[in-house]
Amino acid sequence: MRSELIRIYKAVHTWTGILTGMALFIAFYAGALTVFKAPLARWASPPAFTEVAAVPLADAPALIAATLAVRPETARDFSLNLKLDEHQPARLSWQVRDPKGDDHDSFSVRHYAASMGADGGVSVEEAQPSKLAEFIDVLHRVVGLPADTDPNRWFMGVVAALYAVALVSGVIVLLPSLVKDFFALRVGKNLKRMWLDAHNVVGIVSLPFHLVMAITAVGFAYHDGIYALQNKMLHGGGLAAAFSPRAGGPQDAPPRDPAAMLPPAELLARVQALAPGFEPERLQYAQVSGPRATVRVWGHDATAFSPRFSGGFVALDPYSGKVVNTEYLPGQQDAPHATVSSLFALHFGAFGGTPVQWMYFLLGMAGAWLFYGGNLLWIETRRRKVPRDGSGMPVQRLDTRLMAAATVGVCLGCVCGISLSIVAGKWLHGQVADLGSWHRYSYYAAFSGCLAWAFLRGGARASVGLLWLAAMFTFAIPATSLLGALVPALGLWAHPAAATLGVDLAAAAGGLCFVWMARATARRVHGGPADSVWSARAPAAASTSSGKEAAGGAADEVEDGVATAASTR
Amino acid sequence: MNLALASGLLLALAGCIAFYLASPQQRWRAAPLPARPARLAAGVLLVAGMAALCQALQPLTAIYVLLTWVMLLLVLLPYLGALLTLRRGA
Repeated sequence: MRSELIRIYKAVHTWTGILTGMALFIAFYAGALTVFKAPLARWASPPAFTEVAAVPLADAPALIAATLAVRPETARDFSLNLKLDEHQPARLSWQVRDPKGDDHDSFSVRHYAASMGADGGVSVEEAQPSKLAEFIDVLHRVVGLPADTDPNRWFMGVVAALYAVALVSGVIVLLPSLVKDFFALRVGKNLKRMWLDAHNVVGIVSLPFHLVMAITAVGFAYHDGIYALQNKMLHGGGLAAAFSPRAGGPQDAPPRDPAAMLPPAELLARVQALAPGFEPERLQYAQVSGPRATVRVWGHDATAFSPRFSGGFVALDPYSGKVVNTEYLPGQQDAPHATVSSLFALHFGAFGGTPVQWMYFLLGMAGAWLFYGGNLLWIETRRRKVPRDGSGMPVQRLDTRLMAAATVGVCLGCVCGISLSIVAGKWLHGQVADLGSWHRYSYYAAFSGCLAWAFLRGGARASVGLLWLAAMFTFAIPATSLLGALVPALGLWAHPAAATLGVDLAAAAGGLCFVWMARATARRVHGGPADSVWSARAPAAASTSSGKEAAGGAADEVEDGVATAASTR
Repeated sequence: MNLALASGLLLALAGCIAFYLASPQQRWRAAPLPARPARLAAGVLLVAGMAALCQALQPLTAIYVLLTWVMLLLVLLPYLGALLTLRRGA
């Protein structure tokens, strides 16, 4: 009975894993990069964008007043930026959403920035911040689909739910040997055992990480619907008002004069007194001329977790300086808010600073490997080996050949696409009208090209070339910066900040990894056992008696670089 | 990175290595460390690491950092073991 139960869960684990593995690879690979969203955005921001005269904070009240005089509609929502960098060089900025656009569609948002000249005159310009990091984040959020729309998020939610089922069923399958095989990673002739161990080590040890990711991803996918239902069923349509920090203010009060707001330095002093460890980064003003004027002081506390990816905030009345909301203030939340915020923080890695960002980056990459390795295991389990009597080289099953091609094409297509999209951020700047769209075009051109190539050539043969392509595109990231520094006439650039140099160094390290994988994979493909989809010497389907398996170009198969441990034995 | 945070991470690293080396499945050494003392040492090191992290971080955040770090290390250590096995030509 117990073995029957295990068999059922194994089937559930296999099917949920196979159905979602490649989408999850994209989500995790892009998600690992999204941990460093800010450095990526800074890396891709052109110098011209950063050449904005920084207005001293002491002059901020004058800047706000002058901006509101020429753009009164800005009173609804604008930000005073304390931490200026390559991606956010302007002291005062605001965004205008497309009223017809999706709530989550960040690509249709228009950005504006105000600066002040020496004569006190204000100039307002539409800013064109790089959308590279946002695009990679979208790939992460909707498992490789092109836009963060409701249907795409719902699809992601289904993937995440199946992922949760795969995690639970996988643990149940492992339970009988969990203690005995804990830490086991047996490299040897039994490839199936090796891939199983390699898959299990990551899956079991980082299970809490993956459970958090799966559960929160389902929540992110359906939270709009959940809130809408909650609003209708429990709050009678008043949910937004119930959670408003300024609920209950007089609706018909006369407009207030923003010139009477406390200076930012005074507001920051109030926050400092309230939370000494909190480091403010941005003041987000809302409805400043209305009765419910609020300023949210966003920032981080190095000792606490942040309720959101971009930090946490304390809300004040900008006229009186009175603190009106600390529910999202890092380190000072009550138990219910801390519980919910923990889920956000644990999904985003929004705690512990840079060391934890690197941990999340590596765990994210390990997650991508988990799904990739799952596919390898599925293929290896269905491998046809040379019979003991040596009666001829078998043709591998069609489904394993197709799965090999799809795994190589999708996973390496994602890697190549993201690297190319990053590089395009510098090379196409100033050459195309809508660079944000070109990030998308370059990603999908590389992705679809890799996928087509994998099916055309078969997984084995394609994998070596695609790994070299991934290495080339990834090396192009630091090479582009180097060119920008050495030959500025090319129109490229390299920022000297540690964060942007970190992007280049990480890409160089990634490129080296792909070179290592490509070389090891080439050895496996050309010199490894031929009775495998991962061998270029495997017999073509058409030349065998197994006519029903004729599979076009996918006859000879292979393996991708990560599967190289086998070949190095 | 402040000293307490770095110390906490290093202590936890030592604890995870001790825990791994006590496992019959470890591949770093010819034979595992004696299980009971090694696991005890691992426990002490992890508790000390947690205490150090609590000097730098609020307790809940320290727990999250420790768990994340331990998860990452316990994933990496067996892979390093496999790499060593391959290098030894096994």
